[in-house]
Amino acid sequence: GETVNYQRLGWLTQAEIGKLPLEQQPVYPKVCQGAWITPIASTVKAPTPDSTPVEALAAWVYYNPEGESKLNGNVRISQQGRLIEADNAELSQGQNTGKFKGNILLAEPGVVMTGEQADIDLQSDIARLERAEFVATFLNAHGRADQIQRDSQGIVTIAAGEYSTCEPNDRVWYFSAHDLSLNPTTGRGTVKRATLHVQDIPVIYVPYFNFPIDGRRMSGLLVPRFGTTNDGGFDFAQPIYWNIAPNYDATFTPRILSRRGLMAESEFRYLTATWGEGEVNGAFLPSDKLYEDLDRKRATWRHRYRPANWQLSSNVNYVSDGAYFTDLGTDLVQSNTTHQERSADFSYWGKYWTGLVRVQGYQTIDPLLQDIDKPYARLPQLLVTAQLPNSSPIQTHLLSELTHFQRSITDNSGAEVNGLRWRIEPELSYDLHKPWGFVTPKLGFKQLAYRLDGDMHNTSHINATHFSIDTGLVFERPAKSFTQTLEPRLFYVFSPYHEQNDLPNFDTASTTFSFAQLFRASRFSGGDRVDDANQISLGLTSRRIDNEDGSERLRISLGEVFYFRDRKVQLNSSDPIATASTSGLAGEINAQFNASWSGSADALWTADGNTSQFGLQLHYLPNTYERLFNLGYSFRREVQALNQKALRQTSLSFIQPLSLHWQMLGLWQYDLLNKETPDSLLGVTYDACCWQVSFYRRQFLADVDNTSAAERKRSAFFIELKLKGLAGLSSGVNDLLANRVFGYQLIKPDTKNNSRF
Amino acid sequence: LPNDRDQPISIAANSASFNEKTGIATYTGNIEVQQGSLLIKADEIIATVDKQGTIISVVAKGKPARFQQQPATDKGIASAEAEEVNYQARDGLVQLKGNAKLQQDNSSFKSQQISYSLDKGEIEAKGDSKNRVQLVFPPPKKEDRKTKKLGEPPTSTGTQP
Amino acid sequence: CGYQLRGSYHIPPALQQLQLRLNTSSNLAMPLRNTLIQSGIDLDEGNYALEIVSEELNKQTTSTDSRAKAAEYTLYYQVEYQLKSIDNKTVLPVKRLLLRRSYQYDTTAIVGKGAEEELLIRELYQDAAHQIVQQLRAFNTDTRAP
Repeated sequence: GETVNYQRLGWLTQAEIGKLPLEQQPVYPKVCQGAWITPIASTVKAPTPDSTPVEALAAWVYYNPEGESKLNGNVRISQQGRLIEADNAELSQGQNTGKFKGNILLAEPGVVMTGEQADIDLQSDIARLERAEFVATFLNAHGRADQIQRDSQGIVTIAAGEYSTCEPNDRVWYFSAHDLSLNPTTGRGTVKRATLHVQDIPVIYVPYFNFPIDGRRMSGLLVPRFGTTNDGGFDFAQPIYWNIAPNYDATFTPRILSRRGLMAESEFRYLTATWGEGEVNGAFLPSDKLYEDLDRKRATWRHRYRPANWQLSSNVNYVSDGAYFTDLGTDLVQSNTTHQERSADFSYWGKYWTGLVRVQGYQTIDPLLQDIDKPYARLPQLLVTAQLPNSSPIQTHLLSELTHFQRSITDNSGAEVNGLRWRIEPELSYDLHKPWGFVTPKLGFKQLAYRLDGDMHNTSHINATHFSIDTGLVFERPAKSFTQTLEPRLFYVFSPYHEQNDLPNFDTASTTFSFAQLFRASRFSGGDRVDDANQISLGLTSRRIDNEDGSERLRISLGEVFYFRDRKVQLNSSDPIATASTSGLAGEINAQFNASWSGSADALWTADGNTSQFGLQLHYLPNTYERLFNLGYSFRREVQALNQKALRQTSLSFIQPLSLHWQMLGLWQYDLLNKETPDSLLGVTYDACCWQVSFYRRQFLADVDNTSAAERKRSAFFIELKLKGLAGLSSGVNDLLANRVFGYQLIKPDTKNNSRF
Repeated sequence: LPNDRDQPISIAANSASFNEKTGIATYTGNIEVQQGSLLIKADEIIATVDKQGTIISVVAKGKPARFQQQPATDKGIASAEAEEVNYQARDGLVQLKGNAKLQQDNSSFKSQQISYSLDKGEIEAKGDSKNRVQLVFPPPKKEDRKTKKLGEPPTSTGTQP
Repeated sequence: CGYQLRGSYHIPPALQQLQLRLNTSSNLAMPLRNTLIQSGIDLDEGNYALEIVSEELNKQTTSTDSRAKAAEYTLYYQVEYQLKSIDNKTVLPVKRLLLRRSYQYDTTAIVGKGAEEELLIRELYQDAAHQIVQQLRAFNTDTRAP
């Protein structure tokens, strides 16, 4: 096309931007050679056009209050939040609409359009430009079009246009569309009959797609995903996005794995006003050649409907076999999960109480787990928790639960025990908090009852009371730049022993021993055990608080439990009775050395004084957020009493910019005991202004039905392409890094946050 | 006002001279000319008057010379100033030269030259591409906006799905 | 050795009354309100507001067992908060707090471990509330908008 005056559209090179006063300099990625600056900043609030006076400049003006007025020669019309320039203009009677001719420029907050001919309504948003060029800074995009039109609702329609987020003089890709419309109210852009051109070669044709224009995660036209794995061979997938309606969309992805066969993945998302939002997705690979020609399937349904202070939700997952995720999973985090949850909840939030009705079960996909080790299903669980407000120091808290537990044993790895469990745990505490410290005596009662299937008439139940007192003092020694505190803490808990050897264990586990565990009343999580305790915990915490910003520069804690009685209650009767008179020391250190470096360490010693476990972490995360470095070491000794297996692992991860465009990232976990690398990844990313390509090589150990280590070694190489501002597809690497690399979320803010909360 | 012309004229000035034959009167020194709603203030005025004593034209110079008149009862007062104000009474035309300013119904004009027809309210302002005419007009009133449409609706493309 | 019992919560006078702005369904709401009240602050009044800008809770696998199954999970809770005057004249920079707690996973007791996770999360919120209130001491009224 003819050369375009990008200068007039507001393109400034880095050098030119550097000369601007600081507050006018736009924020733009360093990898771009410049940025668009619109005459009216996108942050300017444009009042309704018909409420502000119109100022005009022109070499010659003919003004007629009864009829048309004419302005000729370097015409410039401006209102608050809008600017129009043209060679000449004709304004209608009453000056509310105008016909403009000759190198027109129309500027609004964050938007600039230039063209040859335009009709603009000065009182509303209605405008129409012919043969126009445009820049939309909120999309960081520019383009041209035969016609740009905006109606009174502000919907911009661009006919026969081109659109790209690349630098104007270096358009690596652009897409041309028969019809592109941007709707600020729905925050969606829709494109019809679009073709993606890369280096001017048409690459993909998409009949219709729809993308968010208000900063939400960019989805829409999806680019292909390709890579190879040492087991699956070449792996190519081309997602096809189909927007059925503004609140329904679907992605269908045919995928070829050279050594396994053809596979189909699909994802359907829905948002309804009447009964909530959710997504259904699934995948199917008929007769996998590398898996004895069995079908490989996966399905997920998540739903949430929260009209008021109650909510219905579901989270149903199914997978055909245990190796599915290691063989076919793109969400690489899943490769080390052992179970697939399937649950449906009804939750209710009252003023002082919450209620939950839940049906929950698990599909165990780890083939080595025997039925006796599989989780119970809750069919159903009724749970009510209540807490009086905190007006007075007297606190009351109530938990009551009635659940039917069900687990079938078919591999006779143990006796099948199912049944009903009822528990009610009211607590009364007195919270005395003062600057010098706190004293919190607490009295609790617990009733636990079972009615097991098979002998329905006989219920066993326990009524137990427990008493605890938690008290601590705060000593301070202020110094010039910091305040050092010394906080001794004492926690005594007493609860009598009740014989529980024949009680089943439906949902209880022993909590990980740590400094925090010293001050918990129970050594179990879940509801099947009533603690027998007569112990006192002593702890000491010292904090170094920076006087200037109040942040905790250093926190050191050390503590130990002294038992006055053996702990006879165990999870299963085969566990040894804990007879040690002390728990062994538990310590923790957290340090924020400076703005970038931080570290933490925790250590546990057994009663006989040897280290049972310790962990060290070091993090480097500067607040420029463009690089990070993490180093971690964790050591665990085999301790029968704590059912703790030996472990010695190091983990290292880094993101390091190599140059303006290139960046390297790496993750390496090494198991010192077994001398093997459970997981490692090396990636290189080339980041250009409007596109980004990453190459990753991942090596990890898959647990494949106890075969030899060599067989378990999996390596995968894949390429990830991203067209900035339009589409991007991660092949699961982002999720893996977000799950493994501390701080990664902060560096790549647009990664999908994989937290399930 | 349209009936200004048949109102009595009052002219005050430091000094004045009148040439019977040519019908030209020249006045100098903080002059004030008033005729109905018409008011002219200037440092030097050359007025030509016909036989019956009605004004044909007034050329006022000043730093700046000021001119003010209410074109019609339903219109606001138009006030103007310029280095030279040339008022042609008979065809109701005012020409301002030299950083001229004109204000009417809170629209305002600034330019090198402005010519303003008092009867029809038309204004023509001439500047050049370097110092252009400056024009401010108020946001159009609400009620007369409904009638306006933006040209003809687009035919083929761009209709919303 | 120079230590004496802490005499006051060191809450600056301007913050003795404080508004709290965070979305009500956030789990930080209850512990933070309790800790503020325990530190002698009257809530929902005053001309300064403590605003919770963003919260993020996620879980990372920090070590795996010999069969490449998760052996230890670490929960990261990050909260960004800001102190500003009601009329937004004084706006302090956003502060970021990142807390972590980890627990050993046991694939034979995933339901029990799920309960432990909920327990740790409650403690993370409590710890965050304590540190936020502890940082209020550094506020002095003459800090203007940056």
